[in-house]
Amino acid sequence: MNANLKQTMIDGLWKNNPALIQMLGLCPLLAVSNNLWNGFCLGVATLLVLVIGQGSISLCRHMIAPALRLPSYMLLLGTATTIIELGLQWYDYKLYQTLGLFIPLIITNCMLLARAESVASKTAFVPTLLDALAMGLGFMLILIIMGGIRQWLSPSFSLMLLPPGAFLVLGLLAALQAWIKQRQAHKAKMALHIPVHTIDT
Amino acid sequence: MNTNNTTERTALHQFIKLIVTCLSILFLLHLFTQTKIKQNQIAASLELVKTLVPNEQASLINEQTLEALSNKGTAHTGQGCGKVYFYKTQAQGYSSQLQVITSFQKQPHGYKLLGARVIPPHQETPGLGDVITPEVADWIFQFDQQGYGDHVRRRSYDTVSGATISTSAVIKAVSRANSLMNSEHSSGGRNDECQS
Repeated sequence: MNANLKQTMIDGLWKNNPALIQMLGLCPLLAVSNNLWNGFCLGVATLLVLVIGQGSISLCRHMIAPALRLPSYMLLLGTATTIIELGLQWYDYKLYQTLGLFIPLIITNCMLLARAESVASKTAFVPTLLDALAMGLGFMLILIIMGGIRQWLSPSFSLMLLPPGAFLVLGLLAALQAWIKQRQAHKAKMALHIPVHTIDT
Repeated sequence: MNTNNTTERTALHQFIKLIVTCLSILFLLHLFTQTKIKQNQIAASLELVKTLVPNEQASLINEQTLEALSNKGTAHTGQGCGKVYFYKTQAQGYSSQLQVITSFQKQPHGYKLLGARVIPPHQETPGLGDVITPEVADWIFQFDQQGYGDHVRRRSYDTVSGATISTSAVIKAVSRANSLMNSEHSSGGRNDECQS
């Protein structure tokens, strides 16, 4: 169970990160990551929608007929989004005003439907929750990093505030991750080779 | 054939059940959060209007001011020389109808434009058109404590490149408020209560 949890977390945060590897949910990611605070808030909101939505899909998975699965997923995810929207209006109206349109737009995040289709519809409740948590955290992490970078660079480089700036940052982040992964793979390979080599000589 | 029909029917039944459950959850949540959300909305609007008056008059703003603004499009607070007038005007922005509150204060000669704010939520492009809100940029503050005399000239305010339509819509709304102020409270440029 513990190893499983660790694996799920590594998957969501690094190996299979929804933003950098799966390239899902880019619309809100590019639009809201113009500063750290917005990124963080949208990240938390998306995480909550993911957990509630995927959890309820997993609970209802036996009563959803295959032919009606897409409308059912959208219904449950839409409900989860509305719950978060009402909750935010109830809890902090100012924040709701700042995030504005992006809270209802969480429903258009294709990561939600992708996770519903590939995980929540076939998996028991608790593993689904863990997966949603890991994916949500992974998405939030990228939102925060991008928000931070864009906020830091935007005073001197106003392109960073605009959508093209977001694309550039995302592209560079993805490249950085690919590079680190490649280096790790290379190192692992070397580590495997060295003992063999020493035996040879 | 028959079994196919029954499975389809049960699937549909289940789906309808799901819809009903979701709707009832949302309805209950709506009932539960309704009053608090309404309060939050009023508090947020009060705070917005309070930024448009001198500090010493902020306590005079109450729900009646808001009600008058939303029903009649205009409101006023204070007495005599310090009297503040509010106008709510609209102009078409880039992707939404922008609603703007503008405030004016009586002066010995004519009126002073105290400031203007866009009423949230607006739907202008994030990152471009949203410079019209004070949280994002200082642009809206150019109306603060401006325009002595009796007209706001549209050309005397700057639009922002990349947000030309949004910013010129706000300028248009402010100048509309200014013409309303002129036509309703023009007193030949002199306000006798203000003479010391």
